[in-house]
Amino acid sequence: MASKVLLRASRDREELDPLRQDVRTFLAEQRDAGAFAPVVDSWGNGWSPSFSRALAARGWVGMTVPAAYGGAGRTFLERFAVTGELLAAGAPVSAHWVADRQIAPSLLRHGSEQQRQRFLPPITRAEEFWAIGMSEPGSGSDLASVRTRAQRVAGGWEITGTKVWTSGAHAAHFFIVLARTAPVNAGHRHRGLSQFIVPLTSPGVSISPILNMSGERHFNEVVLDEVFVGDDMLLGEEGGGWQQVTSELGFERSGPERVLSTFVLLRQAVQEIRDRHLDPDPRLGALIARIVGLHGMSRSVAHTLSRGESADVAAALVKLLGTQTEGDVVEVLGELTSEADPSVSQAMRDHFREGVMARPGFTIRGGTTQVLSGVVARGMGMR
Amino acid sequence: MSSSDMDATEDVRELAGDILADAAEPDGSGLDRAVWKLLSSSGLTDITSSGDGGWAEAAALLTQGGASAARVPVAEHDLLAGWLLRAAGLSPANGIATAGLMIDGVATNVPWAREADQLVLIGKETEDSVRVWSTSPQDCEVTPHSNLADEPRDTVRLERPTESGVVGFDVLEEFRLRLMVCRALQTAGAAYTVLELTKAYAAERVQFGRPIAQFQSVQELVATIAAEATLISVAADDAVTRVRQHSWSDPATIVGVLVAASCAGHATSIIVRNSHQVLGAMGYTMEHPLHRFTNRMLSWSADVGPLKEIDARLLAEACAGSAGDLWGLLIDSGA
Repeated sequence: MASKVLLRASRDREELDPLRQDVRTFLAEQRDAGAFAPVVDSWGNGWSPSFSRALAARGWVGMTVPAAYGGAGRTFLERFAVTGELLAAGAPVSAHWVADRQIAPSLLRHGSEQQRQRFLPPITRAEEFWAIGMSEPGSGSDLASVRTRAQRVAGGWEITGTKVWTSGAHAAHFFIVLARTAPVNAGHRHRGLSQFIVPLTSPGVSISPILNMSGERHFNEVVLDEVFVGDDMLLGEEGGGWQQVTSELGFERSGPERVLSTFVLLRQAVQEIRDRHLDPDPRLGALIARIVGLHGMSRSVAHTLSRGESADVAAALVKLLGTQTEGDVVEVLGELTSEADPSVSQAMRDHFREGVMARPGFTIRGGTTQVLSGVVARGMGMR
Repeated sequence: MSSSDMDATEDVRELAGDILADAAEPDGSGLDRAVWKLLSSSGLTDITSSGDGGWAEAAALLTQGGASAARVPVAEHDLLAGWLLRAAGLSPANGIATAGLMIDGVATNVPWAREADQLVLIGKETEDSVRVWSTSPQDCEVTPHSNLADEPRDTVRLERPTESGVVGFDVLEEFRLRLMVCRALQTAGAAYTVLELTKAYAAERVQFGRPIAQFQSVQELVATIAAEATLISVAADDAVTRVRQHSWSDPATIVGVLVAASCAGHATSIIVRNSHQVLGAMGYTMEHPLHRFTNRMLSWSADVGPLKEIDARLLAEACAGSAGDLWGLLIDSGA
């Protein structure tokens, strides 16, 4: 029986080694200068506009944006290498993360020339931050069921609805709202959705905090009450919202952030073993192996996508396994230590607590494990 | 890999796949000399020993071998025995060769020993020296044992003097690492076959008025098999890339090989459990081919030693450097 693999391994070319070294040097300088302290889940949990700007000054925000729009015109694989280094170091990349990971590619793919010229340069300078307005109280996994409505008015659109779980909305400048521009067609629920660029300071926008269980404010509820945006704020095609959202999924689901959210915790555990605060437990070796293997899968998907090929099933596989393993790091360490264990360092206790608090989100955000199993099953022809 | 390397590898993959698909006798037992002859006459059995190719091509052969559960020592003959004979300056093998580890005068778990023509054994002769012995079953006391897939894993004791040579400890270490890479590649091949068998069964088996493939709980089991099979495959391929680029003593190589062995072992456990669960009673029978693959995967994991020791060793490698350099140690290309 011929073996038909889902993904071929790919390796960084040696050309990327100097780039990785540059990022490591930068990170060491920043840490020594007190600009940041590593945290677990630093892309969800580490908001630092000053760090983002320092990164942007090195050309590492909006790296793949063409130079004409203020970017560095670098490859997708170079971005993969840089973001991996930042996440492994627990660097605070939250502020620019959404803009860098999906808004910029979206503007390049679907935006008008005027939108690209207006919005891309401030993204690459980490001067403007973005949030995502997709989920609603009644629409999470079932995104097509969103009820936020955009109604045509003179000169533009009026948007009314409620968005929820909007990370960073309270500190961001713009968000992209998925709204219904045509009534639901029962047989074709994905039709009639559009995306809009909405300034978060617009009249009619009210932002309220949603505290997570550790008492932190990342999430928000954003109520839109007849918020007006001009015609020039429609992103892409009217009615093309669903295709635009799903076309980016391969990139979003397979990135190193789906594998490395708890690497800082694992690294700290290694330090504790070196300092003889923790006994070497082979399960930690297994976790290290799995994370290296999954990073390899993430890199292989990145290679596939950068060649313009589709990798929907492989990308879902990366997130499926990666996010579970991120949580396993917390779970295994929970059997060896805790946030109250006096025999390990304060850093270990802190990172462990960060890991426990962040863990439930790993397998929920960006496509739940249950939904992804279905995506994979469909991709393999089982549904 | 250059595109011409890629072509050569794909050629081997296709050729080996065709031969193994057509010729393998799934219901037989013992070494399949007919398949060996076909592979040999196509130049596939001595890829690295002949100098015709390297690890990339050999890896393609091993993956296809694993995917077909062929009863031939494709890993042992070339990458282990053939290489050991050259490393020790001994005469090339006569016929089909296999290799094993000698400890205190006894080699256990030697694949295909009783049916091979040449037995190449490596082990510590004293605390300070390592030797390679080249012998045959006729010159040894061979006690037959079988692995979970009913393949020979015999115990061998030397009975008569035999050709041998001293090698360094690095050769012993490389032997262990080579075996890990081989088994990870074979496991990757078998894992994909298990995935195909599981998908096919779930699509055909109708209960409660529909194929069981339509039940979410079954979909989750199969999706997990696909994910774990991909993990083994990518980790094994990455190990091969590191082997091709660096020496066996380079930390980048050691890390890559241990990662592949660990991923293969843990993923095997999940794939075996999930596939048998989906295939129910049918998958539990002798008649259904599933066990040929699942039990091979488990045996190949056993061949490289307890998973706990592999994981412990990788952790030790990680702890040997500074924690701040851990990321670089794990993913860098190496020196």
